[in-house]
Amino acid sequence: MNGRIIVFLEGKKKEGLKKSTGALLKAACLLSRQTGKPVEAVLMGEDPKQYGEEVLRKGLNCIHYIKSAELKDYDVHRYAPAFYSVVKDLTPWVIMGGSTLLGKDLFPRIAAMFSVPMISDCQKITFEGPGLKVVKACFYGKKQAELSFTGNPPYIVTLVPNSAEVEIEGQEAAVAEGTKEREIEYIAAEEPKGRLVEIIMKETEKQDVLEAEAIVAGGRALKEKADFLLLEELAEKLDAAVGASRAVVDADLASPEMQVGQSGKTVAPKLYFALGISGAAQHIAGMRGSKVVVAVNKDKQAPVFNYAQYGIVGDVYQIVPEVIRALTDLDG
Amino acid sequence: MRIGVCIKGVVEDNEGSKWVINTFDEYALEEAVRLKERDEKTEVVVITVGPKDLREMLYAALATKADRVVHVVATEEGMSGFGIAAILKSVVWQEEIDLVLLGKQAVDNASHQIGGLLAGLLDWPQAIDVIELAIEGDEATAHRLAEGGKIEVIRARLPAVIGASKGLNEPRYPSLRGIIAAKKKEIKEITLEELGLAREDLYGIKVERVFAAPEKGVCKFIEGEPGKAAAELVRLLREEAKVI
Repeated sequence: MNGRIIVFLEGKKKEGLKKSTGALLKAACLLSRQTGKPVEAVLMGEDPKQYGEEVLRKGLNCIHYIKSAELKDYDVHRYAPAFYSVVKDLTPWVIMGGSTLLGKDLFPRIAAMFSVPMISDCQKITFEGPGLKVVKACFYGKKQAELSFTGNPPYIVTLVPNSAEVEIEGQEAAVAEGTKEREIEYIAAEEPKGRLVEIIMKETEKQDVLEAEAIVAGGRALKEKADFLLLEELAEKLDAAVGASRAVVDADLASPEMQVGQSGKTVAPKLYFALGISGAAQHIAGMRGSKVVVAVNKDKQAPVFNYAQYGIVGDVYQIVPEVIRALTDLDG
Repeated sequence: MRIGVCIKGVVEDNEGSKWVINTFDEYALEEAVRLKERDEKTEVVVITVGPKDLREMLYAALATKADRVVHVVATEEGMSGFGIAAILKSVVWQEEIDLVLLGKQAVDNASHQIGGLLAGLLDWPQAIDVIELAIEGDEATAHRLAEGGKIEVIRARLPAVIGASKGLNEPRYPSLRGIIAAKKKEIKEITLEELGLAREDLYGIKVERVFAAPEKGVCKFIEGEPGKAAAELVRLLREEAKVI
């Protein structure tokens, strides 16, 4: 059976590959072991080779660097045609990327260019028989669906970042006969009809919930914007990002990029603190992939406890300072 | 200018089988109506794909200043996002739409696919997850939310596809006059056959099974006064769960 497993990898300028690429590479390598198909990475940018050393350590079959000054900043109108122009000639069987904000924007357009359906936000990807099976949340996160592709490849999927379910032990590499490297200077065939003209930066760049290995999220129990400082303090102790439920984002106590849930971001960190979050299905859908969930809520009947390993019934304002103290004692 | 607003009917929580407009599509509809208010020559065409019993929802859409509806009668069951986008593309061509507005995602399945798929199939520029939009002549300038809270400004020549996000506007409630006027507006029903689409092209993904999302397991409740409980939690996270 022909075809390759193509993985789109995202980097962060100075910090190397995004953390979300870890789960992605593991899932790709697992598929490769099950099918014997090679895994090939695609990196794009002005200088995609800056991540080369890090990717080389993953022991993939091939790395394709698509390089162009025009690819300096992400813009779907440039990234999608560049990716398509290279990958279409690689006989792709599966094309996978992270369900990051960038992935969510890029992959539907790529699917349209290949003229195939795609499945987003997969929590699990497995090879069964000749086909590919995935599991993803549906119906407001109350249910999960197992889906399979019935048409012709490529099968395009995006994977929830940090998906704990694909974590596999041991060596990541599928085949380690030496990795081929290939550089492609990309020149756009035509000037796109839309383009990125400006990036407006936020003053303070905080850790993104999609990238974090731990998340401290606050819900309705928080009364004021300033109360999030308490969560930030806890987050700092845990090297965590601060998240929020929809209720507090709607109430303007937290900014939209912090929102975890179906209408916000779907996360799967190693540790998730749900503080004063009751656990509406939409919120659960956004965090259920987390490895360990700690819930603090006044109401013992709150649904969030059904998804938590550890629970404390109590007031966030009383418990959180004590947790910070206990963590400080640990440092000491 | 003719604006096509794509809306999806979703069944809200605990409300039985009542179809309502997907929340993100409401922002798209409101934005289209605002553009029409600026330029009376603008026509707003609501486009939907779904089962026959969407009437009530479609009247709600028409109770705004939207002009008419094109309803592709088809059950969505098992249809892929690609299939929906392919249908929308046909309607967009047929109706000679200049600007497509739609929600960045549906609230029920949250796949976040249709905008990008539709723009790709049409080979039109796109801006999805948009919180600010300005149309000047045949040029659209859109602010979209990107990683790390950044905002990307996209400039596109029309025709284009815009995916609305929360924050784009505050949708208003329909007026009584609007509700009455809605009943007189046109709802055109068309079938996949009339669009010349073969059913098999619209699938490609099979739902093997749907199951209740599993609960995480038994929660270990940590008792005691706050100081003690917190210390015990930290110990468990360190020694048992090994995550800190």
